[in-house]
Amino acid sequence: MKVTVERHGGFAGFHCGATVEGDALSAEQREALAAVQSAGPAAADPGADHFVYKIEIEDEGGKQVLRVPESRMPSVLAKIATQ
Amino acid sequence: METRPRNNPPCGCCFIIGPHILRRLASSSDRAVAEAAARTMRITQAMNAARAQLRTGVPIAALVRTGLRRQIFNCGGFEDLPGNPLRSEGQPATADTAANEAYDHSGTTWSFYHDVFNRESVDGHGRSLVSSVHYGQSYDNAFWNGQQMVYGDGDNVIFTHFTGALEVIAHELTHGVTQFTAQLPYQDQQGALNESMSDVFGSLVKQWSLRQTAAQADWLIGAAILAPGFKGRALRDMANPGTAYDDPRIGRDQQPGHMRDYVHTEDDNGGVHTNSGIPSRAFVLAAKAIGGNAWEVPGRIWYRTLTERLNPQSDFRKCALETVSVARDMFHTDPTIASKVAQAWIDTGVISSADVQTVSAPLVA
Repeated sequence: MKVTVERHGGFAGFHCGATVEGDALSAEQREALAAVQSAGPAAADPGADHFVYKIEIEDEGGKQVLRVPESRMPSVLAKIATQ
Repeated sequence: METRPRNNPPCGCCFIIGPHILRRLASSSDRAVAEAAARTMRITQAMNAARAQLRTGVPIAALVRTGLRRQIFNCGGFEDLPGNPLRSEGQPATADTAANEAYDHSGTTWSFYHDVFNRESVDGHGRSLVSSVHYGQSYDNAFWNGQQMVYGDGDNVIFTHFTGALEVIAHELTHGVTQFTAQLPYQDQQGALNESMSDVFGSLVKQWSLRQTAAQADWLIGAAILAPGFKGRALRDMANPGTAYDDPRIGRDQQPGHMRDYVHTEDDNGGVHTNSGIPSRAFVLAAKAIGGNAWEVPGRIWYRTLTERLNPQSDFRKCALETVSVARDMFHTDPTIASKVAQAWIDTGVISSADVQTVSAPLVA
């Protein structure tokens, strides 16, 4: 499994991200990822210029794309994008 | 215990002191008691109006409060909002630079909307301008959350603190203006238009404060908040989208300046910070063609368009046609103004010459 976490939006509109192997994730990160997956789509944060995260999970089953507003993004996963 | 009068409609709120008691106290011969009761009633009315607005989504003609009222809060590195009170309206500058910048720049923005457009704060009803600084840890961002502005300190690698540029603060406050008027959703082309309005009025506030003409303005967004070593002029260049930066850590500025280069993406809510380059460039072209101070003619056209003509479905084309219509309405004695506005939108590929013919003639006053 490969997990790509990207950060988009924000006032500057920059994007950054990184891909990690599934077995390189910490237990905390795996748990957070499972929580985000089961939570389902989340409403956008109200207002403007928030960050929006994109998580791509790629495994033998295919690719799943999750879009997570800043307020719902676990920090243990968010830091993958900015490392 | 007094029973509730029969003509008191249920409001969904509970107040310890009922309105009939407050009304009686407001006419007390004791001036301090009367003033306190009157103030309480005003606050209650404002709360009811806000609740009613939230229920129906329709703006209520609540009491209009005049005058600038700012409140600055300190998040102290945490993400709880609004944080601890730091500076209120009229209080002197503190030792906190970010707080003072948020205070000063939101005041300048308020003054711009008040002096140029006769607008009372972001909602047109005199709402307080609330800012929170020192949000998060090395937080590389500033945002408007629907009720207040929030500023991070930056990482000092790419960004310094986000309160350091007047146009950044004016950009955020303009999201509030859009929220209370056109209500452009923050998605796809409508969202890019929303973003462009914030850059347009953000830049106009800066130009107005510096007394710069359209020709003198730099039309840059965020130049002052970039850390040394950043390979670029600014975050965005409204006059020349796509040329603001090319930094190995970030990449290259991807903003288009023409519809043929519109970026179709799901990222960034459909590319709202990218595709805003197109309508922003249209404004700059119109402003430079018309000349003089950009807030006086094109600024007024864009303001009336935003606050009276646009709605949540409005895309670039709708905005273009409405600005031409507004230009004809407001400046019917000088038809070159509307034609310069139209040409700007034609040059950015948003409309064609044939489209301009379809814009209805103004009603002559």
